[in-house]
Amino acid sequence: MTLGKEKIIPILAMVVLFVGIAATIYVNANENQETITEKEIIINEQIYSFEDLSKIFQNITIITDDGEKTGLPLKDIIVYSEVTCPNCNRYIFRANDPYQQTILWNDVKTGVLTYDEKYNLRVYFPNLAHTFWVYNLVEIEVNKL
Amino acid sequence: MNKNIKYFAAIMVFGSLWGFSECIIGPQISDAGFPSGALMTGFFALFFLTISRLFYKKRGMQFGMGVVAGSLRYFNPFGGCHVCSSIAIVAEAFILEIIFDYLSNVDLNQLKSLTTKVGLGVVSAYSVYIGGTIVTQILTPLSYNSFYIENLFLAIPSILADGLLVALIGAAVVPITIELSRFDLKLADKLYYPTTAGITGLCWIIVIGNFLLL
Repeated sequence: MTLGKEKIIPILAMVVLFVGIAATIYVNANENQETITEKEIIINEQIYSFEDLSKIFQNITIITDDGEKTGLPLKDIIVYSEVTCPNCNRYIFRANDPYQQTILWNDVKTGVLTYDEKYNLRVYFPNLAHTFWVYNLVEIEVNKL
Repeated sequence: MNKNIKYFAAIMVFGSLWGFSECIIGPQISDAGFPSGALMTGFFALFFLTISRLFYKKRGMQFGMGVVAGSLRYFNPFGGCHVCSSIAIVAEAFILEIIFDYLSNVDLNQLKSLTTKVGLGVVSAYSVYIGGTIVTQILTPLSYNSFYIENLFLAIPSILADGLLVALIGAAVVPITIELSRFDLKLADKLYYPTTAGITGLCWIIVIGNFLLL
């Protein structure tokens, strides 16, 4: 190995570790800064508790490529949150870490809101890849198309 | 033995083993609640890509393995967008190919400094994971006509943070793989093709069988 490469690999490794540690600190520092609790979610700028939503809506079950998922119908929840023209918007599903995915009504209306096995709020969609199944969900932002 | 056919057989067997682990072992790790993406890349992808380079020292082989593993991944029903996962695997292989290409004048088996071996593990594991994940985060939403650049930017800190675990795994896997490659595991010519063909075939049969049963 040339001397240059031998020297540069450990230096690059240190840079990589520094970036990874800094990113970890940043992500953890930015988590849980929402004013809502774990059992609440902001939908269209209004705060709802999952328990209250559970009293209003009945669970439905959808079939995904990861088996059956049972939860509250997103279609009804969105309409309940005073979105007047559901088809006229795009919906940003935001996690607290702060991962987010943007989904259109045609897919949103097929999804369910529920708790996953780690007791985090999560959405599932039967026709979308797992990338869109946002967990640690804290907000559904509604934006005009 | 024709060297090109020998390399081709090696690409098939190592690529199939990698693809098999992604399709069969990956979902089990995920179901058990562990970060399957990080563990799969850190342990399996890195091990198969590195050991093949150490054994054969052939440029382009890792990219070929990625194509084979990605093709096998396409038959796995787990994960939604199969094409995206397949392309992400190819991207991972391509990134490691670039790293090995940078070290093309280096005989990795002869690395003596543990610091360099560990450093190589950290850099290659982190780069492969970050690259593969970013490719997935672009291609999957794109395939659903739902790609928004701001979503990708927001995901970058999490991706960089998740890569730390992979880098730490790589710090152990690459030096161990280099040590393992010093064992003389060469097969006699008359056993080489039946063995590689048998392992390759078995991997594909299990993965496709699993796909058809689900």
